[in-house]
Amino acid sequence: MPPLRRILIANRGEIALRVVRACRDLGISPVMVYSEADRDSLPVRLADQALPIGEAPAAKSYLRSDVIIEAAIRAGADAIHPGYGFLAENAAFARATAEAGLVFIGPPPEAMQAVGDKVEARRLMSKHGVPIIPGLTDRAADTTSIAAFARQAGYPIVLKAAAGGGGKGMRVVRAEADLAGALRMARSEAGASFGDDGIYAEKLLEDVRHVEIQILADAHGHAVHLGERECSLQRRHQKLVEEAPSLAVTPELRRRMGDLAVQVARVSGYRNAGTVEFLLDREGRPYFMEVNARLQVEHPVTEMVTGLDLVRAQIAIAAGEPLAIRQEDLAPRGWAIECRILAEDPVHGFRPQPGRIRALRLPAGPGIRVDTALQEGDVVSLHYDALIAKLCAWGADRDEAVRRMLRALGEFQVAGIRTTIPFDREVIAGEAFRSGRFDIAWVDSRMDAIRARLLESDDQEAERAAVAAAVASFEERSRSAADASRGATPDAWALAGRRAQMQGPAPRRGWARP
Amino acid sequence: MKVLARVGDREFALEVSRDGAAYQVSIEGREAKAHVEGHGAIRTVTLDQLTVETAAWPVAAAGDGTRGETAWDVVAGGRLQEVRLVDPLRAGRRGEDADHAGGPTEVRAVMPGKVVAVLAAVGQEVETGQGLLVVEAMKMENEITAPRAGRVTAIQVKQGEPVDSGAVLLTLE
Repeated sequence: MPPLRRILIANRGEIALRVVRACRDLGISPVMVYSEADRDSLPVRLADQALPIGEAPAAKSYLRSDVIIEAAIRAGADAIHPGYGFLAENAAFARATAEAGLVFIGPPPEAMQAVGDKVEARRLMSKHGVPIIPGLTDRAADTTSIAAFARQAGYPIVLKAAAGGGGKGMRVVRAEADLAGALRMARSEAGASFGDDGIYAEKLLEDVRHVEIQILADAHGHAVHLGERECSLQRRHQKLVEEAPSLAVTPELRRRMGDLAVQVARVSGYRNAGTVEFLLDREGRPYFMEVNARLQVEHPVTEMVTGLDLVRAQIAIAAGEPLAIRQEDLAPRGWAIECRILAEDPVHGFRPQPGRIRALRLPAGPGIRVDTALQEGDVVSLHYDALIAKLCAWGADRDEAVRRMLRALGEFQVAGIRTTIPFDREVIAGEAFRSGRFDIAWVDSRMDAIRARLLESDDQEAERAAVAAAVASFEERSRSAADASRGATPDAWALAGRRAQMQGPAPRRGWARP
Repeated sequence: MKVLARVGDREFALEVSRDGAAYQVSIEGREAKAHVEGHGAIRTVTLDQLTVETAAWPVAAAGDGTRGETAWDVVAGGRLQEVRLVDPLRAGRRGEDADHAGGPTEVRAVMPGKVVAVLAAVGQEVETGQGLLVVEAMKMENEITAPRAGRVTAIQVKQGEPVDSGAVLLTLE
């Protein structure tokens, strides 16, 4: 297969920029597609070509497979990178891309389907000796089969969507009396989210950690694992802080989980980069949870401790190149931590914070990596995910990584919207994170205390904040008074900003560099 | 400019005036000089010989415009503080505010989104913090809670309806 020369990136934000950069590093020409909301975005600015694909809502742009494939052909691309989210795990899109004569940079559609149905995946793994979370390996026809399982395994149990992911269609059931109602709700939610109302049941494992293994598999039957990522710090099943390696994983356990993950790849016919998620109980027993058939948000921590470029590896594998790394050469070096910086207000239930970025200062310095497409003046839109930046810190050991992360969080300034930066500072500086004693329930169970700490302030801090706001308000009034006395209308930038805050950027004419 | 600043449960009577390149600030009668330097929303604020980098920006669609109130978010030393600036000519101090409690309160959308559920009914008595509506925005569902106890006198939106930032969702009395 000839090397790839031009790649179309079917995504937006930080991950689109990440792929643009990998293309540049490989001497490949990056092509972007964009919705009306992203016309002025950084990945669009940095690509060789950028083509409009529709309106701001994802269903009218980033999810339109036919329009995206047509754009790839028009731009002369030979491959499509889907990033994560949107069409990344859509087998029909992967298939249509191949049928159009383009390379899909990701797993083959058959493998995507084999791991995409959670019940099928559980059955497949169980058959090949991979430990699964105790539970049903069939879709639940009715409450009878679930009740029988729950009586034998004991409550609490959790109902999950067969086609599921992201906590949709998921219900914890603590007593038989609640089962029928929970099943009805899980079914309706799963049906609405995935077009498939299939439900199965698992024993609810509490005080467990979420530990996942990164794998790479080429088209020549060679597969390796790149060690684990610890992702237990989650709020309502949404990961917030990740690290590699995990304090809970010994070299021996890493080998065992790694072997299991490679086996998962093998039996599902997996190719390209993927992640096998496990729950790890207190005794260090891993249970297969699911396969994420894509590049993960948190891939940078693995890159930092292995020195590998995972997007580059994805592109090489898709181009048919054999893996150049051997398992015995891989061992984590140092420690890496990632904080997901979200446009959400941590003191008000992580409420979304759309709006214009008035000013921005990104952290830098030794050991710091920031993946973000954010620019001053950008509008964080309600149409997309709230992830605005990924802040990663590397250290020779975990202590150094923690101190660097705290330093970088202190340098990070975003003005215009609230972010999760104060929450991250609180968590990373806290005793639980320092000692590594946390599990998947930790954030949810401590959120009230964290919130209270975020709201603390002393008299002097409050007084200074009051003065800062009063002076800023005074200046704003003086400015508008000056404008009024000159008879001037507010400047175009201010008007555009105000308009953008209301409805997203005003449409402008498209452009494309030849 | 005279202004009343509320930060959490603290309150400061402030007066700000220009003094050359700096500002003269009176804080509860105490005179101080403030230097505010740099451009944009992230600046340094020097007060009482202490310089701290401070980000400050007005919050859209927050505060109660009818009483000359504006809301500001201020970040300094890694801590976010909500500051409400009240025009002292148009609003009473906190104690007097309580007298207004008998009047209607309009519950507004703080961001554009879609109403996915209406949890309260007209005529219903609700407690402070009780869920009234669920509004979806940025793929997340957010519960809008009652800012105070009272009776729901009107619900201005329906399930499935899109709402703009600042739109009145429900009225409490």
